Amino acid sequence: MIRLALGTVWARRGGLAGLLAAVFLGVMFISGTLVLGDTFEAGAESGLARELGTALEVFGLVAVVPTAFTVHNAFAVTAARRVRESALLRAVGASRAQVGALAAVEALVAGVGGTLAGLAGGVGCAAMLERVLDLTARGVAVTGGTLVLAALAGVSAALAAALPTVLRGADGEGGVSEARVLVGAAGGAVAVGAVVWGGLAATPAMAAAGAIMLLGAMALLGPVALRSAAALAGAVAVRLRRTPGVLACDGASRSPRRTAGAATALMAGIGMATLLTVYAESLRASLEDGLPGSFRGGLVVDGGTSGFDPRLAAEIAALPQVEAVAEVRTRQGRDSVAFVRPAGAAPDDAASAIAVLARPYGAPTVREHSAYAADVDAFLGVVYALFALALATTLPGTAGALALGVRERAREIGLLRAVGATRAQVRAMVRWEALTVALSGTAGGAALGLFTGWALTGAQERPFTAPPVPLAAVALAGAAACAAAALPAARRASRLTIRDAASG
Amino acid sequence: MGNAAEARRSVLEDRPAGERGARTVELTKVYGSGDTAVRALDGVTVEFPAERFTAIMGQSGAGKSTLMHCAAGLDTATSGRVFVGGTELGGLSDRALTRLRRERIGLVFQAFNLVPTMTAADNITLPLTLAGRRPDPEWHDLVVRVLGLGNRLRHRAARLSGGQAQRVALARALVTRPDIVFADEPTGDLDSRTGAEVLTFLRRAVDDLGQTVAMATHDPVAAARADTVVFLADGRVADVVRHPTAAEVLDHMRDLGGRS
Ligand SMILES: Nc1ncnc2c1ncn2[C@@H]1O[C@H](COP(=O)(O)OP(=O)(O)OP(=O)(O)O)[C@@H](O)[C@H]1O
Ligand SMILES: [Mg+2]
Repeated sequence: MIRLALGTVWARRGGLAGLLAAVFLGVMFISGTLVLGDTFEAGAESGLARELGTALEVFGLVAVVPTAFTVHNAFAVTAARRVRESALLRAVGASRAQVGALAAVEALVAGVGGTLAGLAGGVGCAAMLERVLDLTARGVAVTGGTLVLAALAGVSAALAAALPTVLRGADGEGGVSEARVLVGAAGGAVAVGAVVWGGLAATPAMAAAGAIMLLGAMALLGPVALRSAAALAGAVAVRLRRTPGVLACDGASRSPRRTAGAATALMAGIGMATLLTVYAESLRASLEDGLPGSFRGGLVVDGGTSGFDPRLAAEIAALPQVEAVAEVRTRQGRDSVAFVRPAGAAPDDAASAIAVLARPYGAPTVREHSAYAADVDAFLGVVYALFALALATTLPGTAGALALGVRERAREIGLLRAVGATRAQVRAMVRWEALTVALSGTAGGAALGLFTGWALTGAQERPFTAPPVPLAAVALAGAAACAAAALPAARRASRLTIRDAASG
Repeated sequence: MGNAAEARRSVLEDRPAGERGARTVELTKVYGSGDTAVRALDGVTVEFPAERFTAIMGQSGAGKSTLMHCAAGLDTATSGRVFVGGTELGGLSDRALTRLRRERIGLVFQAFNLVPTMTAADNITLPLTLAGRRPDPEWHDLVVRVLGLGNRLRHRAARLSGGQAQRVALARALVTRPDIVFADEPTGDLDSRTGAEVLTFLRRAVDDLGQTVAMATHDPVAAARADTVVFLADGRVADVVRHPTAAEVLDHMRDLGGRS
């Protein structure tokens, strides 16, 4: 039985590669982000570093959800063939348990393999970034908890994706069940509430939990949203009298789950990238923009997330070694940071005097502004590296889902060719499908990222900034990912021979 | 799209006045090469006269499907010539062949004829949709009425029964008023009663609508509904019988079976 199962796994290695890649990329992102978060926290000499570490950990946790559904999609696109194979096995006498065991072995192989590779990749990437950006003196902090969490996420995502499709014979085609819409809508409403609350009441944990739930709800509602997007694109196609567009959008709106796989993969990547940019730019804005240039060479008193009593700032201002103080006030009426311009040419004097004053106020760190700015720059470097990684992982997911959609429809495309669709029309059909995916994935991802970004910056009491240039880059990257994914898929589709249809 | 319109016009203008139906001359098709080469068709010359129902009979592997595919421009012949409505297919570009299929050839396969997510009505007009044209309403309604599909048009193709699906496929084949309809075992997946019904509709397409039908089958009862039966064996024309009865067809098949 085991031999048979492993033999089947080997025979299906083509389909398995997609699953393996999805697990690998997801686990790499999660573990890399968590390791960097731990690294910031472990080396934390300042409140700021602690806060940045927390933010990275939130990103890592949030990434669990997109991982779960890209893995799910990687599995679901081949569901139709799997279900047919399972039905055949059942017909020749395999028990339900045996068919299930077969699927479980397959999922385990992909899950464990992808997870191990992903952990190695994640820790490797984190170590490389740490080296390049010179984050700490001690190298990366890899904790057991991080590894266990990332591994659990990878393996259970693979298992959760595999089992129901085969056992219940879920179909890749068809509509969207009412239960799915209800659960998705209810979950979404609760999630939005949690995110808003987290953002307004300055509780990052609540905002993160809400964001994770919201992503789950979006995955459930993706096909519904996609149907609307396809209907919209279809209306445009009708206007333009583009027959392939009408056909493609008709197909997408009638069996939205097929196309939704590609769109959710794109949405996850775009959402993550948007969240990261919003967070990074908000941080930059809060730390630099409000600060008069004259404070740049001075000192920074940094109370981190909990902050310190503003009376400390007043006492500092009264020191003879100090010329001026600029405070950053939190909503609770405490100071998170105070920038200090020392008087005369003895900053060390001022620093030791401030440190003495600060001791009874929870001992916030006192550092030179340059050290503080280096922390911020390093953090921004990490965030933009993650941003690139999120976009890079989006491409194969989206491309794979589009390509597999074409492969699953080989017969339908062959039939269209037989009754008179030209190669150019078949290519255009796939391009229109990709356009729908690009529109809905990018719009959905950007909305999601902006919303969760607003909540997370709110929770950490930073001003919300939506930076136009990086956001435009995100949207462009989404469009480029779809174009890059669509071209090979379209070429392959137009090369399908008519006998693919005729010979059944 | 000016280019496309031009190409379309040229395909239609190629047709010599009045000539419809199809024929093949010394058609040969070899699959593969060297030791594994299979000579699926070997010098086949057949005539599918206009407004007639012609059946291609033969055992499994005789070359029926290959003949259908080569004659319909779905596959290219190794040598020999194919004429559809007077136009020779050899040498046509992929685009020109595609246009010819869409406007002058109707196709019915054994199964998987329809796009499952589309309605019956959309499937019927699919070739016209692909050409960016609208159906001639009178002809469309006549075809739908003759095939008894009036109350099925709004159904999703995936929900149709086997017999209904084949009738929708036949309607799609006829809606362009083609020079010829090629049907490869159109009753192969149906029970005998439903199969007989579909055969009746093929007959009516010829008798009532003046269309031309070529049908591959290995069912003698189905072949007996045709005006002419062409027997294929090992890729060659073994026999031609006009106005056949089921008993005659069966006799011929037995002879062929004994010979090979
Ligand atoms: N794509 C192909 N490659 C190689 N050989 C082929 C191919 N298609 C058909 N053949 C061979 O050509 C011969 C004729 O096949 P064809 O499908 O035309 O037979 P048929 O009369 O339609 O049979 P059936 O009644 O089983 O459908 C067979 O020997 C078959 O194995
Ligand atoms: Mg055949």
